[in-house]
Amino acid sequence: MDLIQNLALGFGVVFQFVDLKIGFLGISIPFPMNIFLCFVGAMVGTLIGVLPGIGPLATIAMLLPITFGLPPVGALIMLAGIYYGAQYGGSTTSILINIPGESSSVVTALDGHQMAKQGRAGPALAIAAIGSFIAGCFSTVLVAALGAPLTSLALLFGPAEYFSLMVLGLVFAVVLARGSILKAIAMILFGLLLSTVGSDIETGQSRMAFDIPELADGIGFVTVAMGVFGYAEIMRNLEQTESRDIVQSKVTGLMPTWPDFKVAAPAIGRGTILGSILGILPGGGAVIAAFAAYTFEKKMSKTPERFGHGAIEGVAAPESANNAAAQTSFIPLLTLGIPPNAVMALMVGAMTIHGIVPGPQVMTKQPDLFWGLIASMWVGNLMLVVINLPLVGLWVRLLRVPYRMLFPAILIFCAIGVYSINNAPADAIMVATFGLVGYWFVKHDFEPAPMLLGFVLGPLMEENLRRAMLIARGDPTTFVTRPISGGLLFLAALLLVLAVMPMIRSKRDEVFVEGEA
Amino acid sequence: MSEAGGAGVARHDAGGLPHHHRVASIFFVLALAGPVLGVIFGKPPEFYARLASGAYSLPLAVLGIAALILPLRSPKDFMGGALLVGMGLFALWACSDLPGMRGFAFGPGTAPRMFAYAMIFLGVAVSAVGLFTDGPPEEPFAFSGPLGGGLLVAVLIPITYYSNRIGHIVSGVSPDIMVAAVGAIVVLGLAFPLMRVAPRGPLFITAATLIFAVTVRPLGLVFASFVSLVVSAYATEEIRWVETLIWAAVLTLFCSLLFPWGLNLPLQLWPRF
Repeated sequence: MDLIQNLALGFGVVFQFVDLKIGFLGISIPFPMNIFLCFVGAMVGTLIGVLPGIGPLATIAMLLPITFGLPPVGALIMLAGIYYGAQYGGSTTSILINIPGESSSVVTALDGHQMAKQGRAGPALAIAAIGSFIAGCFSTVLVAALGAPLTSLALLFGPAEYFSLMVLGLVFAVVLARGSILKAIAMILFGLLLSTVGSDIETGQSRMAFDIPELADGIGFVTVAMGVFGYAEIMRNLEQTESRDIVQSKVTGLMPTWPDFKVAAPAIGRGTILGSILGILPGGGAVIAAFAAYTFEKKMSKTPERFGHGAIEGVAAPESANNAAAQTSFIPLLTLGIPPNAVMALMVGAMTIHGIVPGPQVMTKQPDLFWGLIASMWVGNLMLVVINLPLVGLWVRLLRVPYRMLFPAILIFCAIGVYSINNAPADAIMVATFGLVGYWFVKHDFEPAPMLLGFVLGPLMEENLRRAMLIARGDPTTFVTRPISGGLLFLAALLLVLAVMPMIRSKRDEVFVEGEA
Repeated sequence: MSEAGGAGVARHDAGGLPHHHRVASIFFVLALAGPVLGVIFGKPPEFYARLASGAYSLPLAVLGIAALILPLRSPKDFMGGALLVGMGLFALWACSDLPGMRGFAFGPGTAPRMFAYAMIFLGVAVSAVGLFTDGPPEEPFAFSGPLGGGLLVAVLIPITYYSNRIGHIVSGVSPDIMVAAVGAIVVLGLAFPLMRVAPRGPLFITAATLIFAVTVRPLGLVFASFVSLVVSAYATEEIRWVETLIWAAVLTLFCSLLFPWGLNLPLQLWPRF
């Protein structure tokens, strides 16, 4: 079995020991570096998930510079840990104090907090953790199984197909995002435009750099992400006055009862499958998966009136779904090289900085990285279950840290981190500028996530577009006449038309403010 | 600008102008700014060529006319779209020197121009949505926040440009320390009066980062992080000085252990004299 062999390789990478030199003692000791990084990532992720007002996007952007010194496998393992760790942490605060630390656990709060109020916080936390773990196991296997076939498919693609695939991915991201479609497309274009700043790929001519040396290399990916997510988030959070009244319900009796299990098990199964599918789709991800799973579970239930009053399915389904989606969204990234959502766009940035071009060749050329990352997800999920449940009390106590102490820490981390990449003070100035731009966008109901996708895919899209046009000797119909490319573009157009239909019919643009379903 | 009119209602501000007249006049000023700047700073020797080099901003006048004759029913959409149009036009101007198509091969300027035109088109569409559908009013600080912060960033441009002269104002002081001090003082000196019109958050988050940026090279990591942490405390209304100073010291210590030693990054800790 190839799959088992590959997974064995992956686990080998995860449990690898490296010699850690301790400088002042002059000795070196064997140290399980990757396990340690996986642990650090999962813990930091949980911490971030617990604290409201700082999401996984901002955290990964903030910690990117720190991972530059690590080997690529370790860096990616840690960053992935932050992402799925955040899905866990968010559920804890949702259930205990009705404050979703993450947008993906907003729905968990509905029933989870009701359970806590009824004195069943323990079972709610346990079922969230168990559901997440089962979903994590399933999606790890799914990533491993789908990796090889999708990769071989991707190898058939030429530049025209790649370009069309990216168009389809971006269209998916637009259609599945909340808010106005026009605005989302506009944000993608803004990202694409930003990505063209700097030297031209083919001629090396400086574009829109105004002879500023720091711009000659293009705008840094970390700069944009930190500014638009980290800084803009702080600026907005500071406007809201804090109201964190911590009514801590005592957590007693962690284990769910047998009837709980019987109700929750099918919900976990459905949530896992739904989450896995939505995670693979571009534009999907943990948030939409959680919402969809909750709605689906409510529709399936024979007693929908129990939802919102402490139904255990209402915790099990979205929690499994968001964790499954968090992991399966690695599939398009690792096989096709196309990030399906903004967090994966950050992963692309991390990979590029380590000199890895995301895409089908990762699996063949760097199997240790590919399978190591997959195996680490399973290990990380196990760690989260084992470590998190006993630590619930500690996480809740962390919530007492006031925001006025939190934001300076985030700020200085971002500032030093971005400065340390190139030792360029101009980078820190640009982060602040992008923070202001992001603040403007949020104030005008523009989602910044599509912009980051556009920014990451920009250079790739331009390169493939130019190459395809050159191969077709300047004939733009090549994108439609090549069967695979044409099919992908047709699908993209169809999706857009379907999504825009209600706009034609209704006179209000508020139709798109869905997602709360 | 922060108190924008409600949906479809022409509100009057202190000057007596209906709100959308004021918006329109801003667009007219911006539209004219391009040619004027082109004449002043443009490269070509002939007057008309310089005037034309700044003509990229003129289409903004169309938005101004639209705002003049139609009520802004959804100001968020209208202003958001307008910014996209503005940035698209700016990008067109910025890549006007780049060659386009060469035969059937793309030139360096082809793709950026394509993206810019598409963005302008979408910006117009979003603005049109703002004119013809009802929407929520502008949020508070939607303009004063970015403008106030932007002003702080902009003030660094002349300081960088004239850094050679500024560095030698006082003899005996190292020039780069002088520039850093002037930069930090100007940013702070501007941020405090701006606090009356702009929200604290964007203002002092920006100010703290800028002060870090100008001081970190000449004065070292310890000084730069401590000062910018203290400045960042102004970003909220609840300031507790003792707590801030202790917390800033703790964070500074943590960062100066983590980054240079823990992560082996080549950062300078102390000022160079």
